[in-house]
Amino acid sequence: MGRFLIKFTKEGEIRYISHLDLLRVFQRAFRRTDVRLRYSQGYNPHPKISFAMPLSLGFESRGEYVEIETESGHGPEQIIRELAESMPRGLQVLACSPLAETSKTSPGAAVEFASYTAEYRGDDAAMRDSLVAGILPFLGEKEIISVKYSKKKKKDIETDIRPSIRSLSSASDTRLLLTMMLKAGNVGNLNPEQLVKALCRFCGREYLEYEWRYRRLDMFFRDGKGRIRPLTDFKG
Amino acid sequence: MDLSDKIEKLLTRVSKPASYMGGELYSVLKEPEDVELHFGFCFPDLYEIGMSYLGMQIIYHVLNEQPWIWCQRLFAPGTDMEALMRSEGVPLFTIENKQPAREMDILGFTLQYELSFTNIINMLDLAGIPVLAKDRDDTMPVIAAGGNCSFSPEPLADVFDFFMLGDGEDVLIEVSEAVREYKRELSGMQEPADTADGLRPKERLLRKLAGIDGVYVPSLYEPQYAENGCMTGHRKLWDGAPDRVVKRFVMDMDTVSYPLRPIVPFTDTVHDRSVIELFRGCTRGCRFCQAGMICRPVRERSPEIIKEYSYNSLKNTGYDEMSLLSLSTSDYSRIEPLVRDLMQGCRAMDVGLSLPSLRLDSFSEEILKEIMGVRKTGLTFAPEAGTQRLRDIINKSITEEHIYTAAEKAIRLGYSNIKLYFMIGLPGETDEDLDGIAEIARQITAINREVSEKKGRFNVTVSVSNFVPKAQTPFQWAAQDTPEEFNRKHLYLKDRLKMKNVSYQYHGTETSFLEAVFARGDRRVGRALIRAWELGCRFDGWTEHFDYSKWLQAFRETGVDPDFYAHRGRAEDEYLPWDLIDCGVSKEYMLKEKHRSEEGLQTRDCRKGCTGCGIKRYQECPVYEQGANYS
Ligand code: SF4
Repeated sequence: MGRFLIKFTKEGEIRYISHLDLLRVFQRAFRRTDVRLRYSQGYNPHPKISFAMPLSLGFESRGEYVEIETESGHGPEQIIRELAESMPRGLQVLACSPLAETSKTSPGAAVEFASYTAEYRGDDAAMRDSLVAGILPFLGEKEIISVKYSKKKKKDIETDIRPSIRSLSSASDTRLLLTMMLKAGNVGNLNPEQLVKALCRFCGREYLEYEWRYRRLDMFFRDGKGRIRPLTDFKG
Repeated sequence: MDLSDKIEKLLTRVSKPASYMGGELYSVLKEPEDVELHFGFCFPDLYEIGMSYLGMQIIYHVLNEQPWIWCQRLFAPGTDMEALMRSEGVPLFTIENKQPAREMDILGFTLQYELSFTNIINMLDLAGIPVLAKDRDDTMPVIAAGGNCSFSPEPLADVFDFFMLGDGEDVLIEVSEAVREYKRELSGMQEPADTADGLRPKERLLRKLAGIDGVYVPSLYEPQYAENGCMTGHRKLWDGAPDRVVKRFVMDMDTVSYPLRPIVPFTDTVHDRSVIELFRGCTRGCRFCQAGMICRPVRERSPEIIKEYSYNSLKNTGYDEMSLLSLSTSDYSRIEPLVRDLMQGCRAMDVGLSLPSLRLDSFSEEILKEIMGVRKTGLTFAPEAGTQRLRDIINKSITEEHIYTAAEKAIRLGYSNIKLYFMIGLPGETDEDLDGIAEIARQITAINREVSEKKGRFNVTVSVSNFVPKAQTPFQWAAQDTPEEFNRKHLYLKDRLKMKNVSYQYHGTETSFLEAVFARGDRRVGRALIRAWELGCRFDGWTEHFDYSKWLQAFRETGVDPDFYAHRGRAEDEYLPWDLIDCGVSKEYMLKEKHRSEEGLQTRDCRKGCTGCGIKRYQECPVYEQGANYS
């Protein structure tokens, strides 16, 4: 009997499973434990599980969130323990916190930012220097136009993504590892891949999808005082 | 760049990346250095098909139970993935450890249906392994096969090093031991037992394998042909090779190992549920049915074990659906109490129970209601033939009365979907039998009008397949209808079935023709198979990939006459390409059954008294032992 927000990872092989498959994985994982989920009413009842924000297929994550409602009286610690034994490889439960029983906003709807890394795994040695040098001038642009094909409108859509970039930097080790904080959620959501593509174009470099590996680090919301805080602190 | 990085690069570009990634719950990882034998289990079709196949889960489990064996899985990649693998130079790989197939010690293919044969060739080629056994040296994995099609192995005899016949649980371990020894010999860790024989290690291995019960090593035999193209025998190339290979039997279903932690796929597979096998074998003796012959005798699991397995398997997997597997669920000796208990258990666990191939006449009204309440699948019947005369010929014991009473019951219970399975082209069939099919459909809609309280939608689906004469059955001598004749019959039926509330489904005739060629082929048809693959054929069971013109070209170019195999009735004294393989049921018995069929005589279900199928030449038959209780 409760609402909980569970933080978990999606790493390794399992990053290739879709949102729908992930939902089934969680449903089954719970069925393997003693934790009973609450079911929706109606003709076709389904367990109350909802993910905070979909993750692109192939992305890894250290900061995924799922909201659940339970029937059984398990506490957060017990839920973590039970799930830990029941999850497949790559899905690791990091935290579980109670949410207020009656709240209007879901954690998913509260998300405003998400942080990511983008790792270059190709073998073009000049890529690193070129992109690292490009970051500052890139961010200095007033407008960064990104073109993206819209399936709905069946044509290319131009958007200015600059307002959606809160930060972008490169870790100073030998690899090319970009770290970024981007707008997420309903307004101004920016996919890190779109940003990396734009950066590559800005630097005159070719973007090859399979050379990059993305990882979400965490999701953030704005608390009552307007401060940006990780979603684990969200209480509903 | 290591292989798993290379593979990863492809995954963002294919339609079902999860099919190649592994990592599913209960998939097995071991340290490569800790195991002595690497076994690659190959399923020659897509991941989502292979993962729905219980046999794969059983074999995976049985092999991985051995600490010295690591069994990993390999599937036929989708065509998009294959194209990328070829252009990027990625070889066929194991799902678990992303190891090249070539690094396996044994690659074991399961042969479930003839239309997957080109996928086998394709997988070997993708693995960088020569397709023909004679071209493979000691650096290559040993290539093996098992499964139903192994009972007519000749079309693939030049490809496989050996075939395993019958239940795999024991024989797989025995062949693995033999291959382990071969490996030790190769690496010089072990002196061959007898170095004076002058054999290469691979030759020694093959001879050793031939000595294991249930193993057929085709390279130890040479097929003999007569002038007219018919086969006359197998000439042994080594005296020690067995005269006949008798299939393996696992007799005790309660003690044999069973996967209670089956791999749980992430993606939606064809059958995404927990599966418990009730029993193996069938006593009915339908004369067209290969499984009914080659899986004898009936061996049941006890109800206690079934219930225990069901509970554990559901608890371990988290599935919300369970299914019982066997050739004919209703024939389980204690089916009613079992179903009652299982339904109760499933209700408590909030699990849907599906009971395939259930015959309604074996249940009381009360439990029937319950079953109808939880069943998710529609109601199906398989009369197979449209008249009693033809059903006698094929030995299908279901009567029209059965069907109508059951249909009435079902309709009263609120069922509005009934599916009927028939076959056309059966030996002795006339157009009257086709009329009979239409008549059964008409009668059922009439029953519905009479008894149904609901006014709403009602549908009878008539699904018609083309008869393919199979090896190791009483119809193994029969000629198949030509595609033209099949098409005429389909049109005829289509016309007769233009009725309200009746829909008609039928199978492509060209694929049935191909099936017939490979179901009863000899070694020569293997050439056409390889040529068809070279021309680009694969996934022949998938309509969107099947290319008949390429097949015809392949037959033409290799000088193989497909009609000789599909449309020619065999003489009773002709040597059949699979006569070397003994499935337990004797050839004499099949011939006797053929004669009875020609006289229009049914043969009783042998639970009502043994009919002497020949199993007792090799095994105590549990059905025979219990015979007294039935007759
Ligand atoms: S030996 Fe007799 S009882 Fe046993 S399967 Fe054969 S026919 Fe049936």
